[in-house]
Amino acid sequence: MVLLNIDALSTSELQYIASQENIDDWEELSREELIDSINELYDGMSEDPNKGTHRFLNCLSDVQYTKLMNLPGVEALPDEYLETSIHMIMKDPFWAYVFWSISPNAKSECIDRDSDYRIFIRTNAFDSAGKRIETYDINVGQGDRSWTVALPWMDTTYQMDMVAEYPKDKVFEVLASSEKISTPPAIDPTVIESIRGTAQASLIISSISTKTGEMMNNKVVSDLFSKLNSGSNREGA
Amino acid sequence: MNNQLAFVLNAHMPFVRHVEYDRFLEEDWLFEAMNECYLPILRMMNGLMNEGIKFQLTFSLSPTLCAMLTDKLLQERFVGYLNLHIELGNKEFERIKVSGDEKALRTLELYRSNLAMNLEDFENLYKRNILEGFKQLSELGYLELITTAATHAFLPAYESKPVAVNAQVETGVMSHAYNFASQPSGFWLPECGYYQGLEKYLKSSGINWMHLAAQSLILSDPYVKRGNYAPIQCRNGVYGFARDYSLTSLVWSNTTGYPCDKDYREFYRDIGYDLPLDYIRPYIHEPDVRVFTGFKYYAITGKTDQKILYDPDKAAAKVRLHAKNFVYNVRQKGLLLDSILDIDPVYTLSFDCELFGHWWYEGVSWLENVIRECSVADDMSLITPSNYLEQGYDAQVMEPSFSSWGEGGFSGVWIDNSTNAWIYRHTFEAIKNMEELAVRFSQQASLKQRLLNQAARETLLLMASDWPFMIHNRTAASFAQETLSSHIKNLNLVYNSMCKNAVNTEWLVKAEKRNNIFKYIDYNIFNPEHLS
Repeated sequence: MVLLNIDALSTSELQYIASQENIDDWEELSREELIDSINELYDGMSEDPNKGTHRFLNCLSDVQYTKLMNLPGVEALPDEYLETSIHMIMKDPFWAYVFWSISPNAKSECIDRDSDYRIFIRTNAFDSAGKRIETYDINVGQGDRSWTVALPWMDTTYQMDMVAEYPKDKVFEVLASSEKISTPPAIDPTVIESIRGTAQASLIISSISTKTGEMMNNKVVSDLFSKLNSGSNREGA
Repeated sequence: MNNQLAFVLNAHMPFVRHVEYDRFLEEDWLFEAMNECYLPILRMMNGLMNEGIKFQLTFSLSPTLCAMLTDKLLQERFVGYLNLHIELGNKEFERIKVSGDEKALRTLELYRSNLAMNLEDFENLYKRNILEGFKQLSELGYLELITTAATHAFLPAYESKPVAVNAQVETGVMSHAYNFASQPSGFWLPECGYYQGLEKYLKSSGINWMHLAAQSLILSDPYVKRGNYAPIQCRNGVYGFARDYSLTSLVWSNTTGYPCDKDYREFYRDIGYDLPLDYIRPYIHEPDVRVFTGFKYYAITGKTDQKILYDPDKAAAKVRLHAKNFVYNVRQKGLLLDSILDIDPVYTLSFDCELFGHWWYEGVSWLENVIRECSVADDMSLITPSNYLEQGYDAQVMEPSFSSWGEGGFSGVWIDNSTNAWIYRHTFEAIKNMEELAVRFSQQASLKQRLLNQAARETLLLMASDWPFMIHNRTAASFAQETLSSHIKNLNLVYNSMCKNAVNTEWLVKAEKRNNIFKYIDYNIFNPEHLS
């Protein structure tokens, strides 16, 4: 993944991108203003403020491309599928993307049972032996279909349930359960303590940093790096 | 001490074959890579071999790329692409001759000569099949060829879909056997995406080693004893080689990497964008869609619009300097590690292949210079992971950690709520439907078999990592979205047809013609029983 700087682009290319991105009055903007506007636009799209510059190459190619011709008989993608399900994908060791759908039939049944029903997502956490160690609920709106859910503990297995609550009878019903996903194990603090400031720590740090000491963009790596770097240099490594 | 360098280059392109159009914009991605990277890199390696210089490199050639490189229609179109650009080169000669600019003329000659040699190699040396070039070098012991997932799917996103993950791995291995008549030893995990347990699918497909992200071993428990300077062995026996972050950053960094040097050629200043439409119109796309032509005359220069002309001699000198600097850094690192490691280090140097020659114009020459430097150094050698393992090696047994080489080091690029996460609602449903089809209609024959095989192709294609990546980066996002949608729609059509016990033959014939990848596929690969 090569990330090149926006400054490398010619003014005509910048204008081209600005026009494609519907930036207001792009024809009137100076080069600097174009760079600022495009950077602002792309930064706004990024969740991560430390994110590098976007690759503009394919932006330039992504222009009035011919709409792909559908094959005969295919139908448009549905907004929803006719099933009741919930799925979870781990984004990183701390967050999961959870999405769900409720079939029209299931929705009708919920309404029939109690028109004031509400849906929430229940997070179940299990230890390595499969024992449930924590359960907590997240209220979601009737129209919600996906959430990013925190995974508080490493080395833990998670499963999400989509639950309907019927206030009239004060009962709950699990409508669907997701797959189980396990977060990776955390590094044992005693191991970190045992190698901190040693040649072994140098070995590890050299594996994850540039020669100028720049660390890769990764929260767990950064934590490890600061832990390994704190304290005295015991072997002069 | 012997510093062992394992270069692993991943050559991959999404499946962008569009038979329904005479000229398709996104097919140019493939042709640019063939013209600027694959053919020049093969020529460079053949040149070294003919000089008697020994080297060992590893190439992952993705199944989608292999399918396109062996496709008759695309081969024919590539010849057209070369001829069109040769014509443009001649026209450029006339234009630049008038200006009398020597530097621009010399740069132009590099392009013209590359185009002419590519046409010659493509037609006469490889008989239009570039894979033959890689295969020959592999048979002669210069290259290790490995495979990757069938459509370069980002596998951690599909952790909960083991049948689909296995289908990606198994089809990747089948593709390799189909194209190279051999079983691959190594597997390039797309985007270095790894999750715990993934190695079991590799093992069952006969894979011996995989390539990992730099932090994969460091974040494991127990901690890795030799850092990234030696492979580890998973409990099931599959080895893992983690990328060396510091050495690859010398090239890879978008701020300080060698390709950013001011004397190197500026990628973005292309006459496709800079010259008047009347002049360039025959060489861009209709209707007046400006694209890269490959003719670029400026040097990076700096953060300015006022670029200076590219000087090939100056750039060549810089290439030599950077190759020496790279070797120097390897050596320095070796000296640091010498007192810490109990074995000679191996540095896994993995890159996207298209960096060399395409993105970084001087990249092929840099790689050649590094190989030359290594060939005369007594403390440095080039090695492939398989050859390294054959030496016999007492590896630490451990499990790598969930990781990728994307931004943030995990799955955030491919699962991003604000851009691309919506696709998984559809891809998960599609995979579920495909598995259901494989169970309900196992061992079909004739038309239904063809229909289900096409459904399996569409399912693999919709899983490609390229679509969420492009949507995330807003690079050709609408194309990616449209392509992904078309594969899902196709799969849905098969599902509905089979449920009605019908075959839409018009659709089938057209779909087989359009998405003609994986001729050898058997849809039963999506039957969960196949996995067990």
